[in-house]
This record gives sequence, C-alpha cells and structure tokens, in this order.
Amino acid sequence: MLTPFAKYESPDLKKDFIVDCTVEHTTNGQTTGPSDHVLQAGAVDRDAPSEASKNAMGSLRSQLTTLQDDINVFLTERMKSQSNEADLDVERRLLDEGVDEDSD
Amino acid sequence: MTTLDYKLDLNIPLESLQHVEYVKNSLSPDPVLKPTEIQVDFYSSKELLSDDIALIIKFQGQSDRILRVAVNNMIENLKTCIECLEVFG
Repeated sequence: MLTPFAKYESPDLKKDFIVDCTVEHTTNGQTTGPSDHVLQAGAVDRDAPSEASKNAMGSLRSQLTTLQDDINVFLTERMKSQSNEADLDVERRLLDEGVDEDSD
Repeated sequence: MTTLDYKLDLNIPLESLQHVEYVKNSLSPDPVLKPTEIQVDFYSSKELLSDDIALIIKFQGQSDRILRVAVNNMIENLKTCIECLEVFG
C-alpha cells in the first residue's frame, strides 16, 4: 500500500502528518477548488478532479488529497494564531508603551 | 538576511524508481519565484540511500504562510503527475 506522509518543523513545533489508510479517501479536497460562496452563486468548477480509479495510483491520489487538506488546515491555523499574536503585540505596545506605529 | 526556519518534508511513495524520476523531472524544472523566501529540493529515495521507492520533496520557508502556498501548489501539480501515471502508467 502506498501511503504518503509529511513532516513539519518550525522553531517552536514539530508535527508528523500521517494518512489513515483504514478509512476511505476521495479526490474532492475540502481546502481546494472554488469556495462554497462562489459555487452557490452558480459557478461551475471546470477544474474539479476526476474520481480516483481503483488502482494503487488512484488510491495514492486520494490519500494525497487528504494529506493536502490536513497540511492546509494546520498551516492556516498557525497563520491565524500568529496573526492574532501580532495584533495583540501591537495593542500591548500601544497601551503599555504609548508607541504609535503609524506616526512619524 | 532571513532564515528559512519553517520546514516541511513530503514523502510520496511510488511504484518504481522510473516513476519517481518521471515525477521529479516533471516538477523540478519549475523555478522558485522567491528563492530568498522559500527553497524546494527534490530527491529520489535512492539518492537518500533509502530502501523505499519514493519521491521526497523538502521545503524550507521563511514563514508558515509562504510554506502553505508552496506546499499546496506543489501537491496540486503532484496530483496531476500521479493522475497521468494512474491513466497511462
């Protein structure tokens, strides 16, 4: 069985991404393609992936789609938390130190 | 000088070393647009002296944001290569 995996490393965290091959995977990713908003507005997804065939390569493509979703969700959460920390840092500097970053 | 402290290694197992070379030679010619912010390196498992048959793609980025963009784009292209192997391989 061909199972893709990934390893992430940053100064503060290490994480392994492992695809669970005991559950079924599809080529329809949750974090790729047009947004629900665009689809509800009537757009047609002409780039939608084809259904995976029943061979090893089809299975690999489905598992890779799941791995892609897992990585995208994880990194998006990291970006959000870093953005929140940056906002809090600006707020702290403004309140505690009276530093106005926009002023010259 | 910026450091590329955010890393991600993708390990993609394939059926033969020939398939590994096909995929590697399809993806690796694309230049990285901002080499000061992200670096991407391709290896076959043979180059890393591993007994597995796999393509290993190593990303080193300046931030999680640049890493996410690069990894997502690479996986999209990778899926197209695998679909070709699925249909014609």
